[in-house]
Amino acid sequence: MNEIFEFIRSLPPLLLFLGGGSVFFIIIFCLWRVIAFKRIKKILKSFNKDPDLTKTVLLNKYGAGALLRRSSIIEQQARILGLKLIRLIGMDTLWIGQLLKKKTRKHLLRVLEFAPDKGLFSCFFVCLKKRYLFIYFKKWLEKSTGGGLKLGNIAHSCRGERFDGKAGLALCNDKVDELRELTGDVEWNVRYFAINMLLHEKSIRVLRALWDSLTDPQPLIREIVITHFKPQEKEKFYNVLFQTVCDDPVYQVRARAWDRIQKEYRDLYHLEPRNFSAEQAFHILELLRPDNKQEQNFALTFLDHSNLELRFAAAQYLEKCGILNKLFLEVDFSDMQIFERNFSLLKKASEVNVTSFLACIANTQNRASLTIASSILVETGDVDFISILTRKVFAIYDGGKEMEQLYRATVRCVAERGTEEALFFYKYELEKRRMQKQVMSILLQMVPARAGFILYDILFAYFLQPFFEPKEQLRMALKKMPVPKVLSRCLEIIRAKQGRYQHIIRIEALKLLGELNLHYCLEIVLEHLPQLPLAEARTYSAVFSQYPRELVAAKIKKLFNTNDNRLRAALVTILPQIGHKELQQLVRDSLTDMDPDVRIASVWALVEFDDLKALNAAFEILRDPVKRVREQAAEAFGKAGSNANLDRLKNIVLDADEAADVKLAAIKGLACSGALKAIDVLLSLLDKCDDYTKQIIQALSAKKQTEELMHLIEGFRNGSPKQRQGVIAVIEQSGQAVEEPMLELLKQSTHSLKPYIAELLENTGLIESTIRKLKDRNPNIRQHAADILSLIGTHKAYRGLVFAARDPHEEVRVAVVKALERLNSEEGKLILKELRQDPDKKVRRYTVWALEKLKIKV
Amino acid sequence: MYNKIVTARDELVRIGSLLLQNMYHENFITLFVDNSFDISLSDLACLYLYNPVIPNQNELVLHYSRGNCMAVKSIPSDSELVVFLNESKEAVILSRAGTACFSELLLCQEMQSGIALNIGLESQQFGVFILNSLHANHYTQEQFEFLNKLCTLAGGMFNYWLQRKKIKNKGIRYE
Repeated sequence: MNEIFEFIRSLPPLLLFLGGGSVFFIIIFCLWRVIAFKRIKKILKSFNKDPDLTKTVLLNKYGAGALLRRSSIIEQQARILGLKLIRLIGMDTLWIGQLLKKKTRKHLLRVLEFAPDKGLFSCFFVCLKKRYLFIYFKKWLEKSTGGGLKLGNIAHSCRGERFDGKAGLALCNDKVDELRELTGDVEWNVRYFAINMLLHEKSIRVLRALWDSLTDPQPLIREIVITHFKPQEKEKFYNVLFQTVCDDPVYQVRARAWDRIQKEYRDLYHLEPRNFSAEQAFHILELLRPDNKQEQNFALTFLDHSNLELRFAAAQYLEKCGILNKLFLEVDFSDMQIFERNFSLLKKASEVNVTSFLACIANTQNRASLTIASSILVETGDVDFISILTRKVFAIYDGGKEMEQLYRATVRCVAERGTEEALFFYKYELEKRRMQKQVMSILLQMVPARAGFILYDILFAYFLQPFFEPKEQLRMALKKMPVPKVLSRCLEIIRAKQGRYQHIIRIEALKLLGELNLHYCLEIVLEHLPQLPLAEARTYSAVFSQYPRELVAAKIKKLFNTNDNRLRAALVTILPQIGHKELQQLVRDSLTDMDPDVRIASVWALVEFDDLKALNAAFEILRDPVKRVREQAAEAFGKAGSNANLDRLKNIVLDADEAADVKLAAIKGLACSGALKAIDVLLSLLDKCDDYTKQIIQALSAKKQTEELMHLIEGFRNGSPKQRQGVIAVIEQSGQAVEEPMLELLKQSTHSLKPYIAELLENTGLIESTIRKLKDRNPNIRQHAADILSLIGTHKAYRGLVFAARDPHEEVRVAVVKALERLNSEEGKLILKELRQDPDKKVRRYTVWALEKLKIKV
Repeated sequence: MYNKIVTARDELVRIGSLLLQNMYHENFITLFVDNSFDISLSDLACLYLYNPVIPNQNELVLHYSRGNCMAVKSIPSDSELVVFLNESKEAVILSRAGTACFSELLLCQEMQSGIALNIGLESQQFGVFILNSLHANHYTQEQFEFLNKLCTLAGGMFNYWLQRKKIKNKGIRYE
């Protein structure tokens, strides 16, 4: 003993300290274990008194790991207190989990002892992995059931877990008959257990059970049979698989069947859209694979389907395999057919909210793709794409016609659905394009009201620029801005001292104020009406139709009694729009007003009131001492357009004693008339008034409506040489302005005026300019030119058309063939013989047609 | 020449008024085909019509024929001839058998020449009228022009006739 003490004393102090410390901690640990053991034992012992309290206390104090560490004490107590304790505190689940993880005999036996019902299948499962455990498992089963191995018990504890059926069958290979019986059990888990193992058995009786299982009511069973069944009858099995793909209601089952077809029967199936019902097609569309061309084509046929379910499935698939991206990116304005087709398909996809292809706009500058994106984003799609689109389009737009559609659609996108970022782009665009009137017009027309907080300042800055254009659209845009701000600025401008704002800005402010349609500002608007020039006041008067009629009439009556001439003239101008009969008398009285402007306004007001009686009585105003009154009156009389008026204007021109100024006013009046009789009058004057031929031709040149042109052409057909010459001069003078309507007339091929129209068109130089267009590099322009020449159909037009015999555009060559048939000349026949060898089938067909027709022509 | 023109005009007026009088009768089609057949001295005349009740049909069905030869009962609407007629709005003449184009125009093997004419309005096509002859170069410019004008004239009447049929039968039944 002394030696031990001596030895200890001889040890270094540090070692002694460490050794002493270790011993101390071991003692503390043991004490702690004993206390803990006693504590849990105490808790467990209280189980009989209050099981729920025991459970609560236990689970509050110990986690899963702590409970597992105390498994032995729990086991001991369970043997005393019963298995109920295990189930109540959930130890069975913990032990089963531990068994599946560790797969040891100890854990297996523990589960079999304490959780046989719940853990039986888990034990079986572990035995499949560690076969030596099966001996213990089997022994236990034999002991517990008092007989042999009962697979039914294991099957009942299975909950559809995946397990290795082959290994299972190897363990129970003497139990095939029992397994086969289990396939008819009412419980699905039992059937599943049996079938999973029988799938690896080859006997005929089993095969029959497996075939039947393909239509089992439980999807999990159908799924495993479809996945693992390997029958000899390949074709029969393929048909069942395909039927499952088409008709099975469970996606997983269909997916397994489709996998199997893809793996083993890929060469057997052919997808023909017409062979499937809507539901079947939907099921197939859900399963298509991205890399298969045939399947892509199948899906494409459903992309424009009226059934939205099918369209949605097809769109989703095509999106997944990148076809929608391709359709979106592979478009070009040079092939409009493809553009229209792709656009239509993508639009259909967007209608079912499949729009991720729009993300491609970030990586493309293709205008056709951007056009598609803009058209779709107006209605649907992620609004963040609008910002990207806006940035791109606003950057590349050059103001040209070609991109106008894209630009308009983009602006509309921003206006309707744009984010705040996009609205800021809109603002920058308004700043950048301030000098481009056409572009500003587009931007201003679509200004969204919700962007008031961003756009108000810039819009009002433009409003204060006197020469800013377009003014009307700017006013329309400002009307959408916050009213209090706009109102206060308008009033400030209108009431500002002379010279502070230019007159034009005052006018605009007054117009805007009127257009705001604020009834409480009517007095202000009316009082400031003289600021507007009369012609403008007339067009502006439409604004007052929005105000209450009685209120406007009452205010006008009061204001009419004031001395202000300018105000009276302005009020007379707006009266017809208000349409108050009582006020008509004010107009009639004003015809003799001292002020010329009031008289002019009165004449126009009578025209607009349609008060022909008063107007006829006032015909003497054509001899008014003031020239502008005469001119305006003549114009008004012309526009009023009664036959009697037109005759009176004619008589004025023919009257030898009449002053030249009055005659010119009368001719101007005839020019302004919308009546067809005015044309007859002017044509008749051509014969009788040589001194005014130039003015009459000018007056006739104002007639550009289709009906008027037709009347003019009839006059040409029936007229005297002088009149015919006059009409030719009119057409020459009108030039391009009348070409389009005359071509429209020409298209009505049954019209008897056709040869006359063609003759007149020859005089406008249209044929020569159209022939020149046959050399344009744009095929659409060349084809349009060929169509026009064919339409005109004169010898000159056909001869011009022949020059395009070698045009690369087939439609142009077809037009040439038709022209050659009409011309029926020897040189034409030679060209036709050449065209017989044309590479295009359509052209060859037309050539044969023409040659056959020429054969019978003498 | 003058006499020829006068005769053609007279015939056109005669047949036009005859068709007009019978525009609402069952024998309108018979009158049209028979008169065309007789005047043009053809050996076969066949009228193929679309069914006006069914839109987008894929064939024109033989409605009435005259002549000793058995013509085909229907022509596909996507055949070269029908497509050309619809597209060009022109009549087609074939003076001699043996050309690759428009060979469908000759409805029997023994036919040597033929004419195909549109039956319809500017905006709507009702069918195709085909005349064949056993002789090559049978049809002259006058006959061609005459038949072309007659078909243009009859186009409007066909519209009325088909509308009436449509209302009466809710669909034409072809035999």
